[in-house]
Amino acid sequence: MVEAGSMREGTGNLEQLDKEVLQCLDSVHLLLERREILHQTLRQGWMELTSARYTMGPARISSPLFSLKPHAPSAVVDVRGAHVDSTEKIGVPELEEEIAQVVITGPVAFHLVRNREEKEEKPSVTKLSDLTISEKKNPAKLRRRLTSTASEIEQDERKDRWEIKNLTDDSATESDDELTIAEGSKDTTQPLHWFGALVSPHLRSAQSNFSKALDIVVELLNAQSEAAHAHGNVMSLRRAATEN
Amino acid sequence: MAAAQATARSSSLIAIIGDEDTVTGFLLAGVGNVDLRRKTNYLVVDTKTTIKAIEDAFKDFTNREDVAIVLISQYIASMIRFQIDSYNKPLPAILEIPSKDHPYDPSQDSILSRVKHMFSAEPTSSRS
Repeated sequence: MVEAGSMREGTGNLEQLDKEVLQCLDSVHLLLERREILHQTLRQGWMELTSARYTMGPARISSPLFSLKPHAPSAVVDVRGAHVDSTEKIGVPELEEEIAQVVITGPVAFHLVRNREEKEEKPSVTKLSDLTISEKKNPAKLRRRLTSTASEIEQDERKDRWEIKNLTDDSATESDDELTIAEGSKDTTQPLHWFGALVSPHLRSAQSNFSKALDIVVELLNAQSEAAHAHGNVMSLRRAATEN
Repeated sequence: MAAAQATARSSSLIAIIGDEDTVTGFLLAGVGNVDLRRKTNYLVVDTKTTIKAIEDAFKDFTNREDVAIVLISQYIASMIRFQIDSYNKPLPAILEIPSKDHPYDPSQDSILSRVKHMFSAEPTSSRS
């Protein structure tokens, strides 16, 4: 009876081992596939970057132009699915924290989070529309340039003040938009602006290529993490099988 | 024996050690971070960069709490191979990427070599 039980346990272990080996091979297959795609995407990105450098000049795209003003990244990573095993309570909170960070079991899953995705393209369009709105609302300013007498200027100013009072509710949001746009145009956190206000379209293409590469990098890391986890499981199951 | 499930890190940074074009590209993609002490999460490696500087940057990035991924060009990783191989923490995760002048060499990939070893070790164990 004991022998039958151990036989069943042995076959169960073998099935588990097969499962882990297949999992590991699947992850490795995915890893190799993603590596190839990453290489192609990066190659395309480097090509676009070189084209942009050729168009704009070598000094216009270089590392000294990177902004050193404090700024946060627009692409960050969330780490999910990590199981932290705190084995025992020691009593010293600092040490417990340390242990909790070190002992992480299970494959770690990464998830890319982009903060401000479509802000970059908006400013030029909204700026134009705002300009047309402000031109329609303040034709007096244009007239004032032609008039030269002080009394007319004073009248115009009074009119303007009255109009501003009436339009405060409507224009409040618009002025806010204008402010944000003005801030956005000077914003050093947008990496494209480090290299100038008007950049080569090749640089934009390079940006999109490297953004794709970033997505692939995260997928690659997930596959790598799964493969490493499955490999660890296979090794431990093998060790257990040899010990039995 | 208390097993506590927890998300390890959220909104973490991606650090990069690479050549100028690779770093520029990833910074364009939006991974660049400069904190109030003007500490960056990237290192541009050129001909003037010493191995000590690369080692220091690697140590710094792997010890930082806010970094979840360290991307490193493979040819730079091979300069500090000992440190890369001896690193075994799950977070931050290390990923070796190709660079512009040095294509990716799969024989240096630690996961692939481990898997290869797993299958090559099988006949030896069966013989003994």
